[in-house]
Amino acid sequence: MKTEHRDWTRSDKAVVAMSQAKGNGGQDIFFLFTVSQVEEVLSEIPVRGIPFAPDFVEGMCCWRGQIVPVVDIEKRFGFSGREHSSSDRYLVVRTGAADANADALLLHGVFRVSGEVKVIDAGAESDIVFPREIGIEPSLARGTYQQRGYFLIVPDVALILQNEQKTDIL
Amino acid sequence: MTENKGNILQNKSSGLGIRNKLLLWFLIIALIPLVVIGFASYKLSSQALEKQSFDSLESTLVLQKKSLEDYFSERTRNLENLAGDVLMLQQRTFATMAAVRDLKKEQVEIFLRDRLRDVLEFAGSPLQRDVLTGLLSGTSGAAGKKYVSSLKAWAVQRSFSSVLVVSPEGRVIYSSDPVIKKGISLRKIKGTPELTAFQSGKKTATFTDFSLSALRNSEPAAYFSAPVMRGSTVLGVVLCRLDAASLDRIMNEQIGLGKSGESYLVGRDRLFRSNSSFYDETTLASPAYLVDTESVEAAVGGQSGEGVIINYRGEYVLSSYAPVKVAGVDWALLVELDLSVAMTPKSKGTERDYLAEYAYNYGYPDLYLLNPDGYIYYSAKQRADYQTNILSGPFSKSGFADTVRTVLETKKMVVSDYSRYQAAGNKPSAFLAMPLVQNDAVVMIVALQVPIEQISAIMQEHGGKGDTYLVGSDGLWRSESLQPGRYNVKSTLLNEKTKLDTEPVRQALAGHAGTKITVNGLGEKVLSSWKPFNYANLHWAVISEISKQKIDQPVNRLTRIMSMLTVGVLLAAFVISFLASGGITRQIRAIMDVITRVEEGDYSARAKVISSDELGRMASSFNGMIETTQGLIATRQEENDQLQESIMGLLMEISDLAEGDLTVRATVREDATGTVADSLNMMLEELSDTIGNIKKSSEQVGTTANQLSSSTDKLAARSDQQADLITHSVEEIKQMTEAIEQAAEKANTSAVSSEQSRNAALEGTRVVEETSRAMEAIRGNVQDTARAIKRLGESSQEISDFAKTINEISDRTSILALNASIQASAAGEEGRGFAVVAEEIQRLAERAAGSTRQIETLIKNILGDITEAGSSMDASIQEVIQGTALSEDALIKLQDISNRSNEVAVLIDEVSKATSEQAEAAVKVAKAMGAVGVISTDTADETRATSSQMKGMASVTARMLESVAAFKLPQDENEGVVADNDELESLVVSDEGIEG
Repeated sequence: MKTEHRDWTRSDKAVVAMSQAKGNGGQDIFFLFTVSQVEEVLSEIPVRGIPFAPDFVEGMCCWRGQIVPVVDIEKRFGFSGREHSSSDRYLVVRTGAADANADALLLHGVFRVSGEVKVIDAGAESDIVFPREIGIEPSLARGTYQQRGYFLIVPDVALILQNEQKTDIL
Repeated sequence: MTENKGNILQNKSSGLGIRNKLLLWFLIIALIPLVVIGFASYKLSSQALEKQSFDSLESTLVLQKKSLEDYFSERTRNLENLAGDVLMLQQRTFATMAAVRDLKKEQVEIFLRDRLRDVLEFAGSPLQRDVLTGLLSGTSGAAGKKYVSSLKAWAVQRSFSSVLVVSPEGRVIYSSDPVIKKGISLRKIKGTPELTAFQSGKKTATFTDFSLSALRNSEPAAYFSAPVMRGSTVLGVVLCRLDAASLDRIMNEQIGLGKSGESYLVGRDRLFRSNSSFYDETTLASPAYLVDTESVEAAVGGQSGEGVIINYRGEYVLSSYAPVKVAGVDWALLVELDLSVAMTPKSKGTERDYLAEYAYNYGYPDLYLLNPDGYIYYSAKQRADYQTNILSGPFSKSGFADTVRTVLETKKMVVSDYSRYQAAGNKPSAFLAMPLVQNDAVVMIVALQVPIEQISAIMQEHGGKGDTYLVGSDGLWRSESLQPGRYNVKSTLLNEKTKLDTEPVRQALAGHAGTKITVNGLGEKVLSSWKPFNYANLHWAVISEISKQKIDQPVNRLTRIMSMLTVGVLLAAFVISFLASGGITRQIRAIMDVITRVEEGDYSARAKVISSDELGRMASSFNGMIETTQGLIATRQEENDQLQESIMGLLMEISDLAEGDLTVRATVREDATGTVADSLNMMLEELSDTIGNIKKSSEQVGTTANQLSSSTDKLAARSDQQADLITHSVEEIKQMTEAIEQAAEKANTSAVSSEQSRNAALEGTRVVEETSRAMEAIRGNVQDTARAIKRLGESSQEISDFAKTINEISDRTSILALNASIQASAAGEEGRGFAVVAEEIQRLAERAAGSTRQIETLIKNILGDITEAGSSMDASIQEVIQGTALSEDALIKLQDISNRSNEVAVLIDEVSKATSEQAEAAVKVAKAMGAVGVISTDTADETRATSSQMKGMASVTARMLESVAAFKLPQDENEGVVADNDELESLVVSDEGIEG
């Protein structure tokens, strides 16, 4: 079933981050963010480790005077970990809307991705796939799609970061 | 008759009579059993006594050796126990001292910390600030004055000797010190503790250590100083002088240290920080008293601990030390106790200390405690060696010093041998010394002197009848003899006059045990038993001996009794034998008388028959024998007369034989001469035959001599021929000589050729040398090229680094473009223009990244090529080096060829000379051959002379025939005398023929 999905972005542009991780069938995996979700893309950022934090939480960093958590998004989705390399990118993302509830103390977070980051037109057609087909936890993704032989995952940024902020990280 | 008489007399006088013989035999028979029994009892009893004595000696020896071993083992155990006690004492003392030290350290630290706090409080109080402001401006008011007047009391209560308040410029604005007056400037004199305290106190609260102050008449002073601040402004500095007496009070509390102990403080400069209780004058900070001991070194280095050291007074002490680092103070605290006092506690009411009591109870002449450096810090008797160094002091060449050295080397218990020790009144002294080892280092040595009297007592304990003594490896006595007077000395101990070199001493010192009858040191025959005695370092001989004379006493008594018995028995045997033999010999004497008369020719004598036994029968038989002999003598006289007559007849018949008539023959009769005549006739027959044969042989010799003479003539002719042949040979040798001379000339030509080839080799050497130089130049060029390639590689690496930087820049540009793109997109329609620019930048960054990758690839290739070029250049260099080596090798070989050419030239020259010598030799050979020719001619002459001599021999043979012809032979009677004359003539004729 071919469907045009344009509802996951509010603009025509989207930020796509390539991943070294592979799907169950060996397909390439991309993480998709709306332009408004991405605050900045960084090639490097000093990260301080946090004792007793979960494996996917790399630590804390200071971004524009704010302390924000750094999460390895691939590990968060259950893909196997890998070593850091110079091609890694750090995406500074917003947790969601400005109308976050009183608990939402955290407004930003940093995701580490292992591949190239690009700004693309968000108009391409894609098929819906179930998260289980890719092999990820459904609750962490706002949507999972397949396009020209690779998977697209739209992470639930707010859930990932808020959740972490409230339970695991702090 | 006269001769017979002489024989009889001789027979009578020589030999013993039967009576005497019988007497002798009876005595011998009686004596033998006596002698045998006597000898056997002497021998057996003597052996039994000897065995008993040897057994007794051996058991004594075993007992005494055991006693001696027990004695030394017990002494060793005693020493071990004592060492344990001493170690325990030392540890207990150390523990006490460490407790005292820690207590004092805490006291000092609390004291100093409190003083610092006092100064800080003082400087920080608002009242102080106000007063100080007033003092500075001279308007302190009544409250200020009151406060100032109470300052002195404040200082005294806090153990400060005085207080100075100093303005920021260094002027004293208040002083409770009677020496430093108000108003003087501290900056006036440099290097004073006051100036130092002021300068450092201006910044923060500080302690200024003791030093001599020029402001205070060169007295030592130390200060706590602190700034008085208002906000960040320094209003002034407070200087509080530390009261040295307070520190002395803490230090001089002698609890737990006794009279000999002391505790004191020392600074990093090794000068006192408290006053020593052993000196009346001030030692505090005095340069006259430098405390540079091991403990101070360790404590200043931040360590705490205990040890035995030599202190600042040069005495051996137990020292406990610790650093004091508080409130800016950096000192060493030392608690010390005299070593001899520390190690030798004395119970109240006792005369001696613990160790002296110990030595007294066990009977040791002295007991010592020594430091590992050899210092005797304790001696129970405190003799001359007390408080000296045994290793370097006046007794360093004694046996005791050697014992201590061995202990320090081996770190084990040592027993020394006896030697005379001057400090012990030159008496023989032996020592037992044991080290106390901690962490593999000797910390102390406990030694005791072993009393020689006890050793001698052990030796004399089981002595019995004999004497038992000890001898050292030097042959001198190690125990006292029971009777030293026998050796003409007062004491045998270590006495050179009684030095022993007997077999038992040698055997025992060589490690053998034994028992034997031998000679002792006095030259007496003794039964001796010996064993080696080895204990630790001691190697002695234990000898037990008993005089042989003493053992033999019972045997000698027995011998005397036996001798007397033998004499008595002999006398009795003599009397009995005499009587018995008299009865037997009467008949014999009667027979002997008759025999004597018969010997004298009186055949009428007859023996008287006295007894009826065998001797009586012998006398009557002898009488019968004399009668028979008389008849026989008459018959023999007649036979003699007849034989005389026959011999006379035979002599008459053979009288012609004397004139050479061999034809005469004797008449054979029936009597005794018949046999003689027959034998004579046979002899004459054989003599005739023999002389005939001689004649024939002489004739044959003459003939042979003639034949030999002619053969010799032929030999002479042959010798002549030989001489001719030798002459011919000489000619041929001359020709050979010429040929050899030609060969010598050819050898000379070869020498010239050899010289030419040597020159060619030299030319070759020069060419190869040039080649070698050219190769060297090539090597230089190739190495330069290699360096250029290496530089190229380095440049390429730099380019690669630049490319990496460009890559990073393009990466960052790309991220920048991405962020710009995101921002532009987020801005919506307003950001579209900016988005276009961002995309352009993105593309530029991508192109730059692409180009950089290409550059990197290119540089990688270039680097690969350069590495390859480098390797091939290295290979070239190696080849050039090999080429150079080869050309050098060729050069060496060419030089070798040149040298060989020289050698060949020399050889050829030698060949030429040898050929010339050969030619000369050939000439000599020719001469020699000539001489041989002459000799051959001489030989021919000699042969001729021999021929004439052979002829002479033929004539001699003729003369011999003439002599034989004088005998008349039976065949001559048949052939006639004419034949003989013909033979003689033929020989003479032949002789003439030869001569002709």
